[in-house]
Amino acid sequence: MFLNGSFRRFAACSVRVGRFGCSQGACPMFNEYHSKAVDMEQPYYGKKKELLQNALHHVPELGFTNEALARGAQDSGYTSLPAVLFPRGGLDLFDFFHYVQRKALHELKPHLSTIPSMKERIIELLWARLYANRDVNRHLPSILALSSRPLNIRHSLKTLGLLANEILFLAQDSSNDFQWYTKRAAVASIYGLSELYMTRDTSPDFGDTYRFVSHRMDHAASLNSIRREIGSWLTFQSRAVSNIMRSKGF
Amino acid sequence: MFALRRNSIVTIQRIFPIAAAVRYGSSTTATGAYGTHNTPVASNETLSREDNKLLDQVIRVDHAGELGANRIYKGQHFILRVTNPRVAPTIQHMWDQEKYHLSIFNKYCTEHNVRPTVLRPLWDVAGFALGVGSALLGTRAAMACTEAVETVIGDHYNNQIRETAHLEDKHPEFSKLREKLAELRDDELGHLNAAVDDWEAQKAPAHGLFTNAIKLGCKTAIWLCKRF
Repeated sequence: MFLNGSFRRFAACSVRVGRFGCSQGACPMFNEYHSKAVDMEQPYYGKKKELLQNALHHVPELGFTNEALARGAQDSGYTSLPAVLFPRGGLDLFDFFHYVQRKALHELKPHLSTIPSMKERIIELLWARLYANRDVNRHLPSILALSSRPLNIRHSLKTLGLLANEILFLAQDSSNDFQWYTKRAAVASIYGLSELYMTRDTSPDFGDTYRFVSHRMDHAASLNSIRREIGSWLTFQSRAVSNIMRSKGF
Repeated sequence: MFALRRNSIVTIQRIFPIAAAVRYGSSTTATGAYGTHNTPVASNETLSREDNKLLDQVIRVDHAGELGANRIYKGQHFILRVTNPRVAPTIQHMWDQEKYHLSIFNKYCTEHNVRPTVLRPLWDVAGFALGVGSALLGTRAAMACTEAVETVIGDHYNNQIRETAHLEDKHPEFSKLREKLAELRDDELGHLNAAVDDWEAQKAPAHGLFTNAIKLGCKTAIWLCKRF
């Protein structure tokens, strides 16, 4: 079964934590000019990062909550945590989780270079990212509900956009025109749907989610041709109309 | 596979390996130096957020600019190959150079994960319309349009080269980028010289008004592409 063979790769796409701390409460995300040669400034660094890393260890049990942050602080040796450090509480922890998992996707690069088809690469990346949610899966509905509140939705959509961009960049997508946007929108929507589907998935090792993702990708591929077909239909209709006008003497 | 199903501390440690080294953001020498700092210490090996944003904008605007130039020449060639075939080879040559420039920026966009401008469909249409419009006004008007566009682009490239000057020594990647920008600027200024010297762009009707209007349009386009 595909899951057995590819398991080890997905285990590699777990939370990877780096050495720098988090930003001073500001949004850590920005559109990244990726340089192969030079590394980017990290949005998370220092003590804050250490606190967030420790807090992540408690998420499978406590969810993305202030309690997990407090336990993380205890692990670092602090008895309490001022609210101003993480003003959004569980959402800050969720952001960190997103960031770390997004960066962890780069671990798949060697494996991706062995896959010739772009669609397969995207499915692989989507699946790896979804599979990384497996241990926090039961806490996702509550934190996703929080992040879809009007005040938080803009930030969440940006996170989703960054993930879609990272996935397509790693899949070596080379579109430079408006398709750049339509492809990212498609991947982002597939990821969002699949994440929600996964929270209700009870099949062994989330096999149903994998099938769901594959089916959504098949549909998305067929959607690309719809735009072209609509264009052809419109051209045909406009030619027919102009011919009719001409035959009437205009 | 079944090992992961166990809800044990081993499982958690496999999911969140603290000890795992990470490839991003740090060289191994950084651990000791950065371990207790609470602010990011800029080093020669990292690109700051401001520089990242700058490079992102540079590539996006240049990509849009080359696309616009492509469409303008396409429009001009479309008309002038019929109305004034003598000038068609020059326009074709300029157009070929612009195609080469566009391919360079397509490559940069893909390699460096830079977002192309969302207004691309607009530039496709507007550039072609400008090319056709200026060509319909005559060869001199078309050359005046070229003169205006290339002047703005030459200035723009110079600005970019100046703004990225502090990145010159950071890494050869950036000095190569700046060299490329200089090369493209020289090409564009070559087009400007050809338009003015060989094809009497300055003698176009209402030259001042026409060129200033186009320059304003180009500067607006540049401002928009930086943000969108």
